[in-house]
Amino acid sequence: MSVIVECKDLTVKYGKKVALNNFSVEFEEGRIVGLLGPNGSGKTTFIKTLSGLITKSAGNVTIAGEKLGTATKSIVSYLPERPYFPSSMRVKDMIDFFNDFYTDFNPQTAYEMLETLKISPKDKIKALSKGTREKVQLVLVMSRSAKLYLLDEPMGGVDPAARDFILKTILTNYSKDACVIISTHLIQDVEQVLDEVAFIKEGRLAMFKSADEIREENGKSIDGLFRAVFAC
Amino acid sequence: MLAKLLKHEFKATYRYQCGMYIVLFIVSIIALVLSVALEANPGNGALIVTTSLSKLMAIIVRVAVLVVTFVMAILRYRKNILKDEGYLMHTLPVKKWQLLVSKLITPYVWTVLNIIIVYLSIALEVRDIDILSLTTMDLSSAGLSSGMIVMFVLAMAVSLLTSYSMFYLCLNIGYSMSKDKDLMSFVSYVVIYLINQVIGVIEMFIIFAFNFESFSAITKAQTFPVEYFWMVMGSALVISIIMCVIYNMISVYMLNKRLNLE
Repeated sequence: MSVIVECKDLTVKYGKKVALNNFSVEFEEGRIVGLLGPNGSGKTTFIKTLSGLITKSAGNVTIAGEKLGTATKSIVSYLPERPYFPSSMRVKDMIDFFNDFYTDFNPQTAYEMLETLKISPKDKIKALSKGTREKVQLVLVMSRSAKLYLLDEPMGGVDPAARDFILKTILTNYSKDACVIISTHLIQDVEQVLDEVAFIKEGRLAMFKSADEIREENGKSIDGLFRAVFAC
Repeated sequence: MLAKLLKHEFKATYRYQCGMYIVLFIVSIIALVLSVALEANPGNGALIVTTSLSKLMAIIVRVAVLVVTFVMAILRYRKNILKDEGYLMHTLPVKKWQLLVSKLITPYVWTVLNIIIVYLSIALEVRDIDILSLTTMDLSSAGLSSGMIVMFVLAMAVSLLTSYSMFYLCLNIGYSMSKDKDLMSFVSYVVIYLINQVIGVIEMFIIFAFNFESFSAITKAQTFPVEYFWMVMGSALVISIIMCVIYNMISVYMLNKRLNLE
C-alpha cells in the first residue's frame, strides 16, 4: 500500500488561534480512516486544508506525492459538513456541473443512486430538506472515482435510517485503491467500517492506530475508547 | 476549464438578466403605446399623466438594468467564492485566476448587452433606431472628434473592469480576515478608494505642472481644452489599466495564499 496523504509538521492558524499544531500523519490508500476528536479539535481544519479551502501556516502536505493545488483537487472528492450547492440550481444541473469539471465523475452512478433515494433530478436544491440536500451532496461526491475522499460529518444532519444508506453508499462506491477519511461524532455508526482511527486533540495527533489494534489493546470499542480519552 | 466556468456562470446569471430585459421591453412598449395615443389625443389630461409616468418608469428600469448587474456581480462573488458556495468552487480543479476571470468576464458581457438593450429600448420608445448618431452629432458640435469619443468609450470600458476588480479585491481582503469579514471588506474599499484619489490628484498635478503655461492660456481664452483631452484621458486610461492589473494580481495572490473559508 502506498501513502496517499503525507502530512508533516502541519500548522494552521486562525489569527492568533492555533487550530493545527505541528500535525504529522500518513494515510495509505485502500483504507477507511476515522478522524475523531471533540469539537474544536481541528478535524474540519485538517480536512479543509487537504481540500485547499484553508491556507496552511507552516509544514508540508502532499496528496499522491503532489503539493496541494489544482492537480490534487482533481483526485480529491470532498464533502463539507454544510450545504454548499447553489440553492437556485436543480439536482440535474449539479450533475452536469460535476460532469464538466471532474473527469472521474460518473453521472450514471449518480442517477442510479438518486433513483434509489427517490430524489428527482429535476428538483431544485432549495426545495429539498436539509437531510435530502446532504444525501444529494454525498451521492455526487461518491459518484467520483477519486483517490482520496474527505467526508466531513457525512451523517451529521440525517436520520438513523439514512445513516445506513450513507454508510452503504460510501462502502459500495469508493474506489478500492482510494483512501476515505471520515470525520464524525457519530462513532458508533461508522465504527464497523473503519480500518484505522486517528484521534485529534487540541490540534495535535493524539493517537493513530488500526481499529483492530484499538479493540485488542484496550478491550474497548472505538466509541468506548473515545469516551475514555476525551472524557470531560 | 475557463470556458466551462463561463458556461456555468452565464447559466447561473441569465435568468435575472433576461427577466430584467423582459421588464424593460414591456415598460418601453407601454411608454411607446401611450406616446402614440397622446399624439392622437394631445389634450387628454389622463394620457398626459400616464405617458409621463410610463416614461419615468422606463427610465427607472433602464437605470436599474445597468445598476443591478453590477450589484449582483459583487454579491454573487461574495456568495459563490467567499461563502458557502466557495466550498464547491475552490475544490474544483481549476486555477484561481480562472475563477477570478470568469467572475470578471460574465458581468462585463452582461453590462455590454445591458447597454445595447437599453439603447434599443430608448430607440423603441422614441421610434428612432439612429439615436446614437444624434448623440454623436451633439458631441461633435461640442468639439469632440470621433477618435475622442472612441477614446472616452474605451476609458469607460476599462474603468468598468477596474471597478469590478477593485470590489472583488476588497472582498478578498475582507474575507481573508478571521472575523468581521464584511466590515473589513468595507474598510478595504475605503482605503483603496483613498489611495486611488491620491493617485488621481498626483496624476492631475503632474499633467498641470508640465503644461502650466498652456493651461493658463486656455483658462484665459475660456475655451474647451480639447488639445489636452488626449493627455488627460490617455493618462487616466493607462492608470486604470495598471490598477486593474494590480488589483487582479493581488486578488489571485489572496485566493492562492490567504484563502480562509472557515
